[in-house]
Amino acid sequence: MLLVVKSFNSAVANFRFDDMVKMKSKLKMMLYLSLTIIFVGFFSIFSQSLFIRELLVIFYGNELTSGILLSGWLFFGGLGSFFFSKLSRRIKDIFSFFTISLVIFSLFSFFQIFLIKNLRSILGVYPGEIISPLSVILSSVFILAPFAFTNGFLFSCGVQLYSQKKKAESPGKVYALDALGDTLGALAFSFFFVYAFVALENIYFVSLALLIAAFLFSLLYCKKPGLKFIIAFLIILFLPVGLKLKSIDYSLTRKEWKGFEVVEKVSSIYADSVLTRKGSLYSLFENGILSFSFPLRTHSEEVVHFSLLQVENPERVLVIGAGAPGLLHEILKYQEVSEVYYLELDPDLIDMVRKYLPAEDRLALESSKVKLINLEARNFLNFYKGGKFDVIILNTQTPLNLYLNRFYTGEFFRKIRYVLKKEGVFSFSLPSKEGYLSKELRGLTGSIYWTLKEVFPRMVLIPGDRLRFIASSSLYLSEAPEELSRRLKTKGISNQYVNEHYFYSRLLPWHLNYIKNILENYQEVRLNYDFEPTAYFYGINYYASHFGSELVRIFSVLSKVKMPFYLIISLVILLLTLVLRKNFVLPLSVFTMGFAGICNVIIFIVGFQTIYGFVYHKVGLISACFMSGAALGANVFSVSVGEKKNSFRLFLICTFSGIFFVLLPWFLNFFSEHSHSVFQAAFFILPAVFGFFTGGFFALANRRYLVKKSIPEKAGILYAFDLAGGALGGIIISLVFLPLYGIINSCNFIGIFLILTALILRLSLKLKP
Amino acid sequence: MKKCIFLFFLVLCLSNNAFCHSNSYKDALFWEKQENKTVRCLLCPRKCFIPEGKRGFCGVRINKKGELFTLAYNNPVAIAVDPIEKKPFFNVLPGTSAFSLSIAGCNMRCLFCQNWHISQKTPDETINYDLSSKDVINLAKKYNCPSVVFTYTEPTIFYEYMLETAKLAKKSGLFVGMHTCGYINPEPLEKLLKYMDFVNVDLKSFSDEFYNNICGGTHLEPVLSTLKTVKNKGIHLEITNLIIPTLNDSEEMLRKMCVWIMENLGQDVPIHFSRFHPQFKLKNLPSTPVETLKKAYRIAKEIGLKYVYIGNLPGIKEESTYCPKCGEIIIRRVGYSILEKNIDKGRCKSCGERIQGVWE
Repeated sequence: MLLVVKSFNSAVANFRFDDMVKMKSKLKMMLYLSLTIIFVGFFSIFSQSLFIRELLVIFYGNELTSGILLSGWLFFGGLGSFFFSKLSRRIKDIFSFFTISLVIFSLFSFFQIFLIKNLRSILGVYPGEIISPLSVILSSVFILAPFAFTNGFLFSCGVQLYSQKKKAESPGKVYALDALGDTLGALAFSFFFVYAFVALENIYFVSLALLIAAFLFSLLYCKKPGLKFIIAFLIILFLPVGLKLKSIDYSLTRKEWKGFEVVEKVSSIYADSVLTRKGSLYSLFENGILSFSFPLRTHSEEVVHFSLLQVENPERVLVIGAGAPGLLHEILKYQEVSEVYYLELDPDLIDMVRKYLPAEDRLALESSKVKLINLEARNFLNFYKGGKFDVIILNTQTPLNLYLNRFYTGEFFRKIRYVLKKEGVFSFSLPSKEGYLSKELRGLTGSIYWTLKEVFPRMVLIPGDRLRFIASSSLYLSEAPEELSRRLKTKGISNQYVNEHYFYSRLLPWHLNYIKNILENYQEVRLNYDFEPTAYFYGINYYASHFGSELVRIFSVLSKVKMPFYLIISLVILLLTLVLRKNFVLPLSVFTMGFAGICNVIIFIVGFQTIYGFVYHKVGLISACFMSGAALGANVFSVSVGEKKNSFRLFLICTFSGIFFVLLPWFLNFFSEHSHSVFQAAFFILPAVFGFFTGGFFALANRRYLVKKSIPEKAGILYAFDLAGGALGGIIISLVFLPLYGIINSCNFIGIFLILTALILRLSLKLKP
Repeated sequence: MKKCIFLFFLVLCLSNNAFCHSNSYKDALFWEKQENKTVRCLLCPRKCFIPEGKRGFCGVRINKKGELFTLAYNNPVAIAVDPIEKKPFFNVLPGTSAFSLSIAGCNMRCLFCQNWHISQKTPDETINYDLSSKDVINLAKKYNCPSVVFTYTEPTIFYEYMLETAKLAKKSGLFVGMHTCGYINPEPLEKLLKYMDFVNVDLKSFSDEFYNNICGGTHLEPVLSTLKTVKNKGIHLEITNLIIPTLNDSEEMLRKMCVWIMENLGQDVPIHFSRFHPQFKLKNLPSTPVETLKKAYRIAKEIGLKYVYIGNLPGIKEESTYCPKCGEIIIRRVGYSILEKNIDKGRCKSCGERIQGVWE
């Protein structure tokens, strides 16, 4: 062993000597430094995406959770950067320091994945239990903080290293290199690694790669031989772990689903899916959320027969989501049904489930009458030109996020109406309680009820733990148990649970009238639209009500605050800064651009989902487009120009950014009306454009700010401001703006806020002596 | 009848005042004074020490200047005319309607609560009816309900309202029942039972750990004590056990529970094994597999319990009542519908065996 280590050391020494001879030129040194910075960006975004995805599984997350996670990440990144700016003067050997930070960064990420996987047991959460938003926030902070902190720290450290070679443009250059790494990391993770390997393997590969990068860096730049030896030793220790990854991942998954047999686990571009079994009941979890169980005959029979009995001759049926387990078999019991379109986005999911379906459901899935279409519902409806449907069953979950909200909007209901026959029915359900609708549920169901009523004049409401809406223009609709019972008997359909007696138990007059009256008389509600997602707000309120009334109260107070209030507050802050601390306006404007940057990414993701539906890797592409735009912007504007020109450019970029936001709703509407694939491709240009503004602004701000200041110290501070703005933006846009004010109002606010910032910035720079 | 119900809701909905009932305090029963104007509530086994201005764990009992008051009085959050089978009472007045009501609040915090919208809130957080005990009796009669049942949330927390309504109902010739978690102290329970005809107790698990961890720091022993008290007082008792996958579904636990029931309450006590569906904080836990329910049914039968049912799974044969002697069907049920009744004056029409329950 000693011999191996000695020969390794000698090889290392030789390598350094030989290579140092070769790489003496400054250009090559810079190249390796740049490559390392790019790889740090790659590693950070790769790990971040993976951690967030894993945490979403643990927290059964939605945009709200991702917003909190992202904000926590940015906040601690900012803190790390700020911390380094304070520490930088005391560091003597910056190369060794950077190398050690790289090693810590790599090790942190590997250990964090274990921490995340064990988080539910650490928090003492029972299988199937949802976690309170407070626990989500605290544990996200606790788990991601060290990693995010090191990430921010490394950025400033990179700036200091870079500034030893190139002076004032270094922050912009490092920002550009980091952003380039981010782009590559986002693309690599979203397009390849996420479904090629399991989480543990992915993090292992990149951690190992970073360790190797740290080792090579130490060979080139570090004088301490001990450090090189330690890193080499760590790499040797790390290598055999790779052989056991699959089995470790499997045992961690089993631990996560304690009490259930894990039958299969699939990672697709859409979701991480786990199929479990308990007795004869299989349950599919998508990203940790219980999607459906089978066989669950009561559910399937209820969903299908309550809907199909409302049409005299149901011939053509469309099922949106989770149809294979049970629904198709029930639909095919109707002799007159000639065609069933079943929309299921993820083909991997059907392949996984198919093997375990009861025989009758498998046969139904393979029936010539059933057309399985792997398309997202809104996408399908946009392009569908075939015959109209008699029945459309929407079988998705509650609109607790913006993606799901789009199935309950006026726009979607109109699309449904368009593909339905005149006498056709549309059916879906929402959480409810037959004897009492809480304030939160009144808001949620009321909003959707009145939105639906705008499109469909008639409706039958079936009360229960889930309130079933059956909407139509048809006079054939009935809620009378005797009539439904007669129809079932006439059709000669035999069911296990929903038989001719069942309707009498489910359609109790007291409960029918209670629900009808509550909703009919609930007039104060706002309607739900794609870009004004009120049901999403009510959905969040409903979710918050699981954990006590405090969160609901906060939402209720916030909902009373109008958008101009935020503008006035922002303006006051800007003016006060201008009057009291003029020098602080520039960092504040960097903060604003950071704020707008993250809002931009989130609005584009949400807008994309709303228009085209959820496609995971395309969400990654939006982030990548933004980051590549940022890289380009930072690079373009790193070039030295005069102070006056610089100030004017800062003003222009900030103004253009504001105008961009004001125009954004118009762009989104345009894309919503023109959903052709050519326009879809054009959609990705927009985040890149705003990324370009953000990157350019950061580079220019640094040039301006670093005129008289020490580079690492101040660059760290500006980066910290950028990240802090991002952190606040992530929280505010996900928790407050989007649910409360919708996309249009949020864009208008951010746009005006940016224009005001531009004006104040212009004033402050002009006033400067 | 339908028009009547419709009109009833219409009037209530149109008049916001009817829904927005302001909080009024009613003197609470079963408490004692402590030092510094603190009081100790003696209604349930939590025995909360409540400082001045604060509320007990249930959120409805409040200390005002050293006196204990309740917020849960004349302000039911939910009222309904339900089939009595929905409560569930299967050996009680089959096929009749029960006037059912509850006030917001609970003294437990079960992660799987099916009525969490109202049980995990307090009356000042919900939209309530304004209904005195007398109104309840009048409505029950108006809708031809032979019984009044306190259900949905935990009736213990609106003890004063329940007691007053139960007394009035008895005087008016109505049957009175409640569905409770059984977390109540013996003294208030005994006082209440004088006016009760039938009680269904949720025996949530046969593990103290389960009560402690899943039901918000409660204990099994007081529930067992309630079961014994109800039985000893000669009140008709039924038990509901919600079987939740991975949490209380082990064969060993189910067997232990059935043996305890057999030994302490007798074989005549009907037991309902109810199917769990994802609810409240356990939204991501799948439903109970059918064979787990059937396993519980088999165990209870093997041990010798006479009236065993499977609930929340309509349309199966295990939701009907069978004669424990001749095995003939006594009451054939599908969901809450009664398709066949073969009972006469509490006896099996086929063999004359006396069937435990309240039948007329």
